[in-house]
Amino acid sequence: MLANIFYVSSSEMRKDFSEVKLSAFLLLCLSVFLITACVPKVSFQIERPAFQRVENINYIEVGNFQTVSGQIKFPSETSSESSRIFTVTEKLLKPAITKFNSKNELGHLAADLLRAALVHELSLQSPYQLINTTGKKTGFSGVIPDESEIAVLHAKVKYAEIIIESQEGLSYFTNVKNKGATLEQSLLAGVVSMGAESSGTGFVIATPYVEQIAALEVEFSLLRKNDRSEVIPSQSFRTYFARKWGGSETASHLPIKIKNSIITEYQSDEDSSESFLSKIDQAGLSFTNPTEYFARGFNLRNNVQVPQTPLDLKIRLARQVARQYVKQISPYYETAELHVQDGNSVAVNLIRGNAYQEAVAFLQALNKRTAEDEHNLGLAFEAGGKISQARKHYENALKMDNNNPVFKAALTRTVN
Amino acid sequence: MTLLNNYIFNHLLLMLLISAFLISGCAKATLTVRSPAEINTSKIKNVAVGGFEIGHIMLKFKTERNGVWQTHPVLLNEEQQKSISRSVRARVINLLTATPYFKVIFSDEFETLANDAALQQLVSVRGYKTKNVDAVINGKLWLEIERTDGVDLSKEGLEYFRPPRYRNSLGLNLTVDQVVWWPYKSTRGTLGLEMKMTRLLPTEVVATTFETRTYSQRIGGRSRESFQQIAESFTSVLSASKSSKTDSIESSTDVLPSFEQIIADMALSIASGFIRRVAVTEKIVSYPLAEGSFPNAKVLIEAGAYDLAIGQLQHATAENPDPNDLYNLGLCFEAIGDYGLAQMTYREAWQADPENLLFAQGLGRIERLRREHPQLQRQLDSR
Repeated sequence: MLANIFYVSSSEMRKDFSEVKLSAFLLLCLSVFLITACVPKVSFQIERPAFQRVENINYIEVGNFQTVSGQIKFPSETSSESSRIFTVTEKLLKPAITKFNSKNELGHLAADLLRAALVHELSLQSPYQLINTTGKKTGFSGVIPDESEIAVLHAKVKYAEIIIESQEGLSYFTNVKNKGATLEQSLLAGVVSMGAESSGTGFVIATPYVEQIAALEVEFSLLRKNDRSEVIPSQSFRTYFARKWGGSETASHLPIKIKNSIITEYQSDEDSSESFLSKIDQAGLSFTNPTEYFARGFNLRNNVQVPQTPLDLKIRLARQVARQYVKQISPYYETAELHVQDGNSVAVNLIRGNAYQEAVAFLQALNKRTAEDEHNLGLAFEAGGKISQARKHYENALKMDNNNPVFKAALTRTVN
Repeated sequence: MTLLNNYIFNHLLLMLLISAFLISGCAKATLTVRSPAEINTSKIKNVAVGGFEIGHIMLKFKTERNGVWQTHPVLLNEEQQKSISRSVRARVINLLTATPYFKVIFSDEFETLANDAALQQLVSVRGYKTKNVDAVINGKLWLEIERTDGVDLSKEGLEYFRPPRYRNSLGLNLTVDQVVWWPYKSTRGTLGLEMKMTRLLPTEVVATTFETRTYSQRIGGRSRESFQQIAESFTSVLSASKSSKTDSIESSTDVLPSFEQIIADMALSIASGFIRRVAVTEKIVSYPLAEGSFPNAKVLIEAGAYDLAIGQLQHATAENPDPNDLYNLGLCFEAIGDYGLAQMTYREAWQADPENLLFAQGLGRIERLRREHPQLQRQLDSR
């Protein structure tokens, strides 16, 4: 309706209106921006319990990290559809890697880094006190705790690293295009040269590349110091890395299926850190919090085109394994997006403000709780890492409202 | 027409009001907040810095021509390796002396210890006592730096253009594909540094960190995708504006830094991360302020005069316990690092107005701090 009147009015009026419209639009944008900026994020820092039950252990001693030679298994292949489409162009470079054999001289360095990474993780978030972190016989004196409360952590490390710096003959099919050519013609020319390059016709020129492939396998055992009994059963963890800089993307020394599964399973964290938005965030931090900016190393240049050093590679794998293991024996935090239900408004407020303990206390003191309140109580427990209590209240909520999909999802989440 | 004009005008006014309300509702103050040490080091005052053991050092030059790679390791003798470890240690000492919470004791006894095991050996001698040292910091480092001189290869379309000479001719306008070799130089450094703080009496490992920093830079070579270039230039402009003018050569993107420079930058970054764990540090945050009945408080908090604001707000809330003023008082306690009082005051504010999200958020912040810093929890409980 507004638009109709708009068109019948005189040209002068039209100008006025469009200005008014523009400013109204700008204001609308501004207020939308402000509203979104004001809504508090309901981000939950959830404490998750350790995967394994560790009983009566208060101290951890880092024992022997031994390197062993032997073979490390290939990761299982992922049969994704997308990898099959490109099977035509894949190429296995020579020498082809058919197995990962661990070598002791590199293994020592990897084991040492693994020990450092593990001690770091344990000191950061575990409830245990570390009493000997070097693996040497002499521990500290002072108050020596009861030996039945001490667990000694041993590890057997296998590490294989293959770094190939070489060249491959890539074919470059060059052509001459007339600018006056039609779109169809230039597209055809593009297809022809692509086809020629993949079939190997064209100039074959030595193109340099670097390919890094590595695998780390660690078997951990946690033994009680007084009687050498197992605190938790010994476990093995494996992690891999494969990446190529330069040369053709589809050619590798590893079979392409193996390489794809390594990239999807073990390297999914790589792309996110390089995004444009995170760069802006980092740059903004240099103004708002310069100490943090330096402490997190954002002032250091980072060019993704430069291949990693072999040390980077070892540290990366050591950290991955260390994190996996620490999750087994120690509670950890993760950020989750959970939905608060529309129950008692005071409790909802407390949960949205991250005050879970207060919310638990408040909701427990309520005489009558609705199904939503029961769910929110469960949520507050879950956010504080108390999964069994959370489950109880999710069950209560589901009893009151059988068909609520949110309650069902919450219950399945805590059962697993 | 006037009716319509009025209608639009009213709408605009309404929107203006809404946004003004929103802006005021969102009023945030930039506070300098003391953030607790991640680890309870409250009884540690005098700190000695021990030696930094060398786990692994490798410096390499690499060249690549026509796909043939050559590697030339830089052989370092023991003294040169030690000097690298000393330069890393110096960065840590530098930062430690800058924090007012520790006093660095320069003692030969610890500096000459070769490694962690030697320290353990010394400390584990029963009855070992030292007069004035509460804790020792020692470390271990792993370092690799590579410098590469090589060539990128790519197919580029080069344009050839000749204007038409005659009336009916089209002239020449061709795109010719050519293989282009782009020479580049690049460097990459990795430093892994394990640092440990050991309390002497009773002996225990108070804090351990193992941090890694990498540095990589490249000059020349094939230009990157425009999207990445924008991001790169954006961040380099911002970080350049922070650095002083004197080191413009080192910070220039056209010069590869020396090995020493790379080591120093990486060590500094790791050391400041470690200091944050063991010492109380200050950080700048922006938290929302409540619209209290006491306008002076807002000005004082924004100016960072927390002690003064606390005095005045305590006075004001004793007479008239306005929850908004109480919240602002809690904010002041939080800023000076007194989390116990902050929590109490936030709770008072929340009890007076339980529907207020702002107050709940104040409570949530302290609760989160306690959750994420178990040591802080113990400190608060022992009060």
